[in-house]
Amino acid sequence: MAYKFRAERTLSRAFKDFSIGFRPNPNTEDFSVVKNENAIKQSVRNLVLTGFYERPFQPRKGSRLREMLFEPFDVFLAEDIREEISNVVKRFEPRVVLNSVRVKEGEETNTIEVELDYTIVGETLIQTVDFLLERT
Amino acid sequence: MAAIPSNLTSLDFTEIKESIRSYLRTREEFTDYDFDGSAASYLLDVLSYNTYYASFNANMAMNEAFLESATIRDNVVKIAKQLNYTPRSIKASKACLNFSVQTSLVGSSNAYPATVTLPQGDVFVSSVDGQSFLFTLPVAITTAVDQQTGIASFPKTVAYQGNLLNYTYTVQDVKKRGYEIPVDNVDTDLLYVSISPNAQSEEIDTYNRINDIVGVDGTTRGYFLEETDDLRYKIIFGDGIIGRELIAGEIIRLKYVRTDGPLANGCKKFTFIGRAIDNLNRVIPSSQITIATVDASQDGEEGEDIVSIKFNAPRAFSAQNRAVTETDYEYITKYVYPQARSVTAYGGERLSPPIYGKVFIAVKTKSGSALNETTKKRIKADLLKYSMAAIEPVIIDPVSMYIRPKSYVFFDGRSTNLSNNELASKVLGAIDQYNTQGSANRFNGRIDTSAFMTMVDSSDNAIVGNQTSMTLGLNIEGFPFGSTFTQCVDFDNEIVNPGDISGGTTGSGEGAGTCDPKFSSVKSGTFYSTGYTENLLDLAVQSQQLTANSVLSTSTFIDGDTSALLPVNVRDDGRGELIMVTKLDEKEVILKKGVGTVNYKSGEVCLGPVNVASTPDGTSRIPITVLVASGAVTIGTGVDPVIFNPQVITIDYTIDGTVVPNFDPFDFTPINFDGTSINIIDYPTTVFEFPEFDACF
Repeated sequence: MAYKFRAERTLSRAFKDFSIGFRPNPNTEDFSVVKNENAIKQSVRNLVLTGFYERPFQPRKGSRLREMLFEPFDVFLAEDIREEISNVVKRFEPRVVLNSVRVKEGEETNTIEVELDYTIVGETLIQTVDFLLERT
Repeated sequence: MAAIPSNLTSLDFTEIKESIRSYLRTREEFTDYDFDGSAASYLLDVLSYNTYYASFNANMAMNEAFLESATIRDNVVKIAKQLNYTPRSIKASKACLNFSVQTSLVGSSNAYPATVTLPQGDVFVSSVDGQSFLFTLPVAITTAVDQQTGIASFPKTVAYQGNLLNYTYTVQDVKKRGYEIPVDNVDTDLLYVSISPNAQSEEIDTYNRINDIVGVDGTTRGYFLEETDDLRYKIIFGDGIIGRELIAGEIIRLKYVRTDGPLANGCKKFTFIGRAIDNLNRVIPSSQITIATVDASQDGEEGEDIVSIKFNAPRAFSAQNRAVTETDYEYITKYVYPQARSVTAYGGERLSPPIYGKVFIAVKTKSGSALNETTKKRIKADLLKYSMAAIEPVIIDPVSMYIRPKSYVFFDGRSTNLSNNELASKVLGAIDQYNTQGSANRFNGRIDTSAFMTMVDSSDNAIVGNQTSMTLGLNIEGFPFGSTFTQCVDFDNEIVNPGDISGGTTGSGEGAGTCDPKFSSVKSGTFYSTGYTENLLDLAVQSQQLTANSVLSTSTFIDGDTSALLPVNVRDDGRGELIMVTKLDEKEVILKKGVGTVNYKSGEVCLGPVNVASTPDGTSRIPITVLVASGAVTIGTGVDPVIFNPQVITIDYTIDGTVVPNFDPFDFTPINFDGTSINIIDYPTTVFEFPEFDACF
């Protein structure tokens, strides 16, 4: 039987992706799966944390964020980081519309807290992703 | 049933990734592979990269498996090896030196030592462009001492750039046949292989390189040479059937020169750093040693490059050591007779009339002398081993064609310190070099005046231009003295026909409306014709009031005339006939008409009927010179051209207003038979002889 093309199929509108940790699900002993808003959340984090030249043959995919962590922190850097995150999400993640990016310095922990608010296209609920950026 | 990725031939990362994506689109398990941030996309990157890597590797590996597409030298060499082709190694630059040693008397006697020996090894040092190089003698040279002067001369000693190295292998396993030369950049022409029965033995068996297995049996002492990895070479000994097999315990002694190749070209000044010793084992002090450089170091070359191997390997294979085509015969003749400077071969069917079943091989030796019959027979016997059945090789001497360029070289005296003579000798040096270098491949070619003129122009920066005309020369030879004969020579090039461009004042021309040609395009060297004596000329002058430029009307010789014979020349009358002339009071007297014919179109000149009593050099040779009509000299089959006695007249145009006029139908002075110093065609003054190239190499 010939396979059906995508247009002919009644695919679910759900998003389904591997879990980036590639850890097995204890029940199925198969890949862990992330779905829908979690899949998108994972995708946004991946994009932000990917540096230029990190992915083979796609040098422009990613952001300068990791390099920026080595700069002295001030308001200008915070603005740059915000800009960088906003750019990368707009360029590579068409499933979301970014509402705001908040960058805060965790002075005592030597970290930067980043909080993204976005809306998934076609939905009304605002999603929030927050993560800490740390020099490694 | 799920589809499988269909694009399997892609060599592009993006296409491979897209191929996997299109496969996943047919599946339901995952959906996010289209989004760049998804984990699936990362996984696809890894898969695509892996696929790309594998296919790239497969592609390169396949490319490297074929001679045409291989790019790595070691792989090209390995494929060439299957075609039995060994790439040429790096070649050491070589210099030619005259080395002489003043020995001192032996004790209180008046005798000098009998011999002096220059030991093998690194004995000379020189430098070029600030880099110093060692030059080596691969074998020791011993020469006798002149007992009158005490000088031992080593003329034309050839030293090679590089270090002379030795390496010894002991045969442990007779099944192991290959032994590698342990260094790279070795000139394999300077590889000496010898075998001793054991380490203590003085006995040495020299092994030579075997290039093909014709005539090789189980006792042949020889080795095969192969290139291995990293520009190194391997010596392979025989197996007892093809070449002698080594015996366990035998010692293989390798001696070779490791060289820097072309970097050392151009070394001119050499210093001796070795130890010259006489037969009494006394070391000769360096103050008693004189070195003169004959030829600066030259001919150093890099090893054969990939492009050249790719070109040569299939062609060498196509000959297969069989003589089938004309080129095969040329290649194999050079191989069986290395003293050949140049070889040309042509099938008998190309001759007129054709001679089928024979192939003619013209061999020009390095010394320039003709081959003797024994050597010809030997070459023929060697060639028969390679030739096809029923084809008979015939070894012949090439016909020599002598080209006499005459160049008027204009230069700017303000931009050089050289005098006219110095500049002329510089130009002559360049012509000599052109002559020597081009001699091997001028067969079957053509020589263009324009190319020659370019070469002259570039011989010095001060030269602004030159005007050159080419005349051709051949000897009429082998005729009998004292009897009437007719003999022809064929120049195979169109000769200027003076009748075509005759002009000037109306003479007693025979052609309707045309005037007597006023110059000649064919001239012979001087000879003595029987009966034409000084007495005859005197008599004619007295009785007929013969003056210059007249025609001698008598044909009756004086009986018992013992006076000196007149030196005579022959030239054409511009209408296709040869006339015999001599000089009276610096003016020409025509002694006899109709002593030969000229076919200006075909280039054939026939001398005779004429009776030659003698020639100035006593040999039965008379040189004939012709002026060719075209700017290019074409070289026929089996003809060996050589530049002979080139004339160079240098003119400093800033102080000398001399101009070399072109052909002027009303003024033939510049090209006339006897006129001004600006004269394109002269009577040849000597017979044409192939120059002996006095080169070291």
